[in-house]
Amino acid sequence: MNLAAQRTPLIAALEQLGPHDHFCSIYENREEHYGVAIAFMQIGLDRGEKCIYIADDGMVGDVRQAMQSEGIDVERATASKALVLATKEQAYLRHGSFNPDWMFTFWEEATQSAMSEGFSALRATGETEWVVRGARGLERWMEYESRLTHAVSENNCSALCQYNRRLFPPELILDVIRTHPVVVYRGTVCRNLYYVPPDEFLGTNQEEREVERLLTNIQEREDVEHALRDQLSERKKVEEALRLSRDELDTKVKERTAELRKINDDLQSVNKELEAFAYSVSHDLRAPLRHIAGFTELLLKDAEPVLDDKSRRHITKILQSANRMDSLVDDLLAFSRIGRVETQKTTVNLEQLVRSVVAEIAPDTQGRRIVWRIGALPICYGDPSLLQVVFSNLVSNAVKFTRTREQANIEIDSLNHGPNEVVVFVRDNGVGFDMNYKDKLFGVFQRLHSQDAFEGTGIGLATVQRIAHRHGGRVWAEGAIDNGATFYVALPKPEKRKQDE
Amino acid sequence: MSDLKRILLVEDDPKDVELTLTGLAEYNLANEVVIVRDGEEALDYLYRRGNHQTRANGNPAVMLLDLKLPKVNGFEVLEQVRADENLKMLPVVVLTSSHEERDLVKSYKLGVNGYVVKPVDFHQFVNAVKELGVFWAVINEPPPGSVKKR
Repeated sequence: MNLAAQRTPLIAALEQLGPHDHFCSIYENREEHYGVAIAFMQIGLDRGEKCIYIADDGMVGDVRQAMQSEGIDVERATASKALVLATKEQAYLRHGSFNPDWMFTFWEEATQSAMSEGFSALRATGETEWVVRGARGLERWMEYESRLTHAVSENNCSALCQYNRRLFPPELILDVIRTHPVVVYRGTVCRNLYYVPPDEFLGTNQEEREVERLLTNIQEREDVEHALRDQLSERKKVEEALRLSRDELDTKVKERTAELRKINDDLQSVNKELEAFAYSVSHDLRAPLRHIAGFTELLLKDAEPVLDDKSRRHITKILQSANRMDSLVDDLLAFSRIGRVETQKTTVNLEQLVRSVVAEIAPDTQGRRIVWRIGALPICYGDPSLLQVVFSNLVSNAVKFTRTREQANIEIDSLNHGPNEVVVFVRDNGVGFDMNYKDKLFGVFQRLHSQDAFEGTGIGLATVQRIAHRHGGRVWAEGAIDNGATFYVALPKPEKRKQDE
Repeated sequence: MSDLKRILLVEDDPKDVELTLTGLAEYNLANEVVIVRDGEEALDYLYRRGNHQTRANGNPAVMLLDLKLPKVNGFEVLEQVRADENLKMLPVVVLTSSHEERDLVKSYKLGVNGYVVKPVDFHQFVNAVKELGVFWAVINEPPPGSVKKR
């Protein structure tokens, strides 16, 4: 298992420590023990520092193994003198008994020797189980720890002292805490609030200083907690305000949704009514018409011998009216269907569509001289069968209203028109219209010509407009009496749809 | 015309009945037309019950069926006919005023054999009725169990 990958926060914190730092690791199990100590060594080896590990009795092999399992090449590191695995006899007790003064000399010499060997600093860690077992001179151990902070700060050296909390009595651990500026505990590198500088720790009048320190700590801690509480209540206020405005927004959204649902329901019921209306028109309005036409025909046939010309003409008019009423009903139903059917939109090649419309109308234009000019028409986004109805109406209108011309000129082309829509126009040189009535052109059953001059029900342009509106488009017209007309249709571009979605 | 087969006309509007019969009469097809005035009576006829309890056995060669009918409408008649073992092969042609696509679709979904919209124009109407009569009462070979008059 890779230590660096597993304990990144701990290692990152340990990497902040280096020469001149004196700190301790208080551990409760093997994992915490080696987790800190081996990482400390590893960082030193990586940095080119000389690393000394002073192991407890009989533990050198264990340490070696722990280092190897974390990926340290112990063989090579010891061969290059970068790593030294030592026992207490080789360090603390090399004179048989423990003496802090000798130790400081030892560290000073070891640091100098490491530097002269070409290492950038000395890094040392020691296990301390032997300390609780007692040895000569150990009554000065805590004095040593306290003074060590000063010693390492003077030398190019860092020291990690390892304490097994389960082994050491609390009063000793208490002194360990007081003598190390930095403590590593349960995987966290902590700035030590309870650290006491050496002159204070070792000096006289300790109790008076302790009282001062504790009182200051109590008061500072209270101040800090107070500030934290203020911050917390401020934050709660902000959160509350946020929650309130979120609730408000929620309510608004819900209200709006309900409104929209109601509008939608209303629209649907209106649509249903319309559909029922159209259905009954389709079934019931036609029957009487059929009867008028049918029985009038029968009358005409049976009474033929006794009818004079005038009566015959009247009967013919009844028949014509019935047939016209039938066309009107048909057109009205078709018109209302456009508003009811669901549109099936896709990209539509308008040029292809217009050419097929023109080809379809061609058989009805026999005997006419018509010059067609169809430009390059764009692609738009819409329902192909509805757009077919639009251009079928516009083109057949153009054909119809140029009937009085010796040569009809019909032009279908597009305008370059903005980023969102395409505009196609149908222009003719026909009888035109008075611009004063341009708004009436698109009304249902609105006609600007007499039935005698030009046949039709007046539903075509209303249908065109309705289909354009259903596409989110527009229609408009320009013209002059006896001087042709131009009808424009604006439809959404394919790209526009993508933005909308 | 060697075989003239029976036509069942289901039509509630007497004027439409008259016009239809006029159309059929012009081609001598009116003799074998049975007229019923609503969906219920149509079913009574087909099942030989009610007023039609005593009629002779056998199905008509075709049923010309209006959709908008009192009591039981055309769709309901059609549905029952298609669900009945003895009637499901009966040729049924819808004869209606409606161009509505949903009527058309529903009729075909229910298994109609033809769908004819009654034209307003009398000549077209007569022509449509005549063609229907000729086809179903003369040309078409009906399923087994239909009445034939020789």
